[in-house]
Amino acid sequence: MRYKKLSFLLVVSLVFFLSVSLVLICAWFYYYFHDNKKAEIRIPLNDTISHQKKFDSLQNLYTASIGTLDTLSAYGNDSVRADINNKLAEFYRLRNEVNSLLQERSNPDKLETARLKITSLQQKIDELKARTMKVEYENKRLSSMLQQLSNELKTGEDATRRTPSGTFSKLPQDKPAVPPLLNISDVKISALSGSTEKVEETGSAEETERLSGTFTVRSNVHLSTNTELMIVVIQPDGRILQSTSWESGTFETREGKKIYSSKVLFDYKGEQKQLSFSISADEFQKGEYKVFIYQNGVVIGKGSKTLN
Amino acid sequence: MTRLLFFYILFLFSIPGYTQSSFKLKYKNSSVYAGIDIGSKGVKMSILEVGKNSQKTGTFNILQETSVNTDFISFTDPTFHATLTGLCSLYTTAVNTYQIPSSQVYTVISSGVKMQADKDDKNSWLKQLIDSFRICVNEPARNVELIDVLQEARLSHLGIVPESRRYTTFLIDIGSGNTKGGYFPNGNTKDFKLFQVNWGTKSVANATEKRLDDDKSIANFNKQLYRVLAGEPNSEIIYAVNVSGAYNMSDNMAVSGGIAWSVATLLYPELIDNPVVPVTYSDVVRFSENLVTNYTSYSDTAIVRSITDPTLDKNVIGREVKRVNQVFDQKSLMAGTGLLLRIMRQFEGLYEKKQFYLVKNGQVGWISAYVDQTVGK
Repeated sequence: MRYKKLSFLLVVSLVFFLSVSLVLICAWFYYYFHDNKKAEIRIPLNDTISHQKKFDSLQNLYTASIGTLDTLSAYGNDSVRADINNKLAEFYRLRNEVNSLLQERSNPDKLETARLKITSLQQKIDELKARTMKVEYENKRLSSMLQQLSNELKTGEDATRRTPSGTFSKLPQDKPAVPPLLNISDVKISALSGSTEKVEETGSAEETERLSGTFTVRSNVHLSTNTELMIVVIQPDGRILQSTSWESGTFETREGKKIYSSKVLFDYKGEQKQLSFSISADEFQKGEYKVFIYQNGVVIGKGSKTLN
Repeated sequence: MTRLLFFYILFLFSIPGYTQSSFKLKYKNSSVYAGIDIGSKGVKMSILEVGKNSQKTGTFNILQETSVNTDFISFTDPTFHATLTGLCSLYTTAVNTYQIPSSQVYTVISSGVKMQADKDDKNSWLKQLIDSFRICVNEPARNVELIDVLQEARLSHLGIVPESRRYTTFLIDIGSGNTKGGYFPNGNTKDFKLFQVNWGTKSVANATEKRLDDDKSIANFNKQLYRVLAGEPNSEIIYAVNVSGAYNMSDNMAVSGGIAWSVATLLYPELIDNPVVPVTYSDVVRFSENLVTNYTSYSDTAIVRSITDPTLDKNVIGREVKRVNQVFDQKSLMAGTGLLLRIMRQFEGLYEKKQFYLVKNGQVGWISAYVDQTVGK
């Protein structure tokens, strides 16, 4: 029993001793060969200096490349930012690698790798530069196109607004140019006197207290929004008849800006409809009163009334 | 000095011998009235033609305006006597020279004077002025009303806004130092809701000038103007509009004052004969932008050139536009328009649209109101 125990211990010790020896031998061999390799690479003093110079020049090259990238990274609009971001990410990865390589100046092996990586870095920078310049060029081209279109539009609008006398009228302010859609018929103009309870039609300028008009509208197109008609009444002296300033104003026509006598607002849904207007004034002149009905700046109906 | 002033005023009106018939009346069956207003700066007389249907249509026409600067609110003996002389002279001219019946001549002391008198405890001076005036014109029963801010705003509203829009219109007057106005909330002319903001055209322009430093350019003025208007004036305007409840109760917003007259004249020269001009918010925004980028388009020559309607009198338009440009320079117009826009903005809803009006002759609205009240009796 005791003999067996001793034998076991001996074997274990032997195995342990052999393992340790083996490890030591391996280590010795490793360091032996490693040192030899180092000895092989050992460069004479003058080679060390040129190696250092090479690293320095690579460092300078790297620094200059990074400087270029910093200006480029400020570019890139939103629409190409994703693409540029990918390229930038790749570039940063390379940059970090080169940075770490350049820090290991004592390792000549890294020199070539650093040089290759810097070359690759420069290529990436050139790609980014080219991409950014392309984007800038496109932006400029699109801006000038927009400017040209805007000028053409303005010229076109000016041409349509030019009056026969060659002067310009002011731009249509609130409503875009929409073709008229209503047909007007049965235009009737009357001169009235008396109060609302007892209205009488008259032909005398002296007795007239207001000018009233009725007309029928119809359209083949269904209009679901408020429709606005402008009534212009031209007096015998050529001036526009206005009831009160509060109910008058101006609107744009093909002939330029005009003052309206009255405005008729209604909701039209496609059915035939009879509309009316009434304009009061302190005084009515003898002669012919001409009535024009406008929709979207275009005359769609006319009428007249002569007072004696 | 006082005697000199008296004879000066008489001389002014004696040549070429004006009478009521000398006036070019605009309306048929109209009457001529005079309103004499004793204000902070001095005494002003306005001769007004009021149409037959003025209550319904709000139609009145200014025939003549005359003012004498006497600086009454300094409350000194010389300024008192100068004011009394001016007041008597103008009254005499209205009655004797223009042949306007004394019952059609109205005299008031405006709110600015009353406020200053209250502040300086000089109300006795006002009483003395009134008594002296009655003796001077030999009318012991002559009524000279002392009106406060509320009455002034109420009378203006009654005189300017036609009856049909009386209860749906919010009227404000943008002056040089403050803005005031109001509306009738309860469907009667007795209850009037006052609106007041302590900013006017001149005070906004002055505040902007202070911020200019060395850069006096228009671009910098515009930039600083935006900042001024975005500050105190904006807060005051929003508060005043909300407190008044005007937004919910009004379909129309009318603005009077010098800036209203200027903008209306330059924006719509075709409506030169119209005392009230309807505008939209976007009209005034465009006008405001053009003041900065294309100010020369608002010269008298440029505007006259743009008139295409052959029935319009281009000479009259040119003269009026020139007058506007003499009273308001570019920066004053920018300041006034900016303030006008800030107020209009409170009424420019996304869905509900109010109708805006610029009133050119709002300063004599009170006379029309007196006329309506007298005729109504």
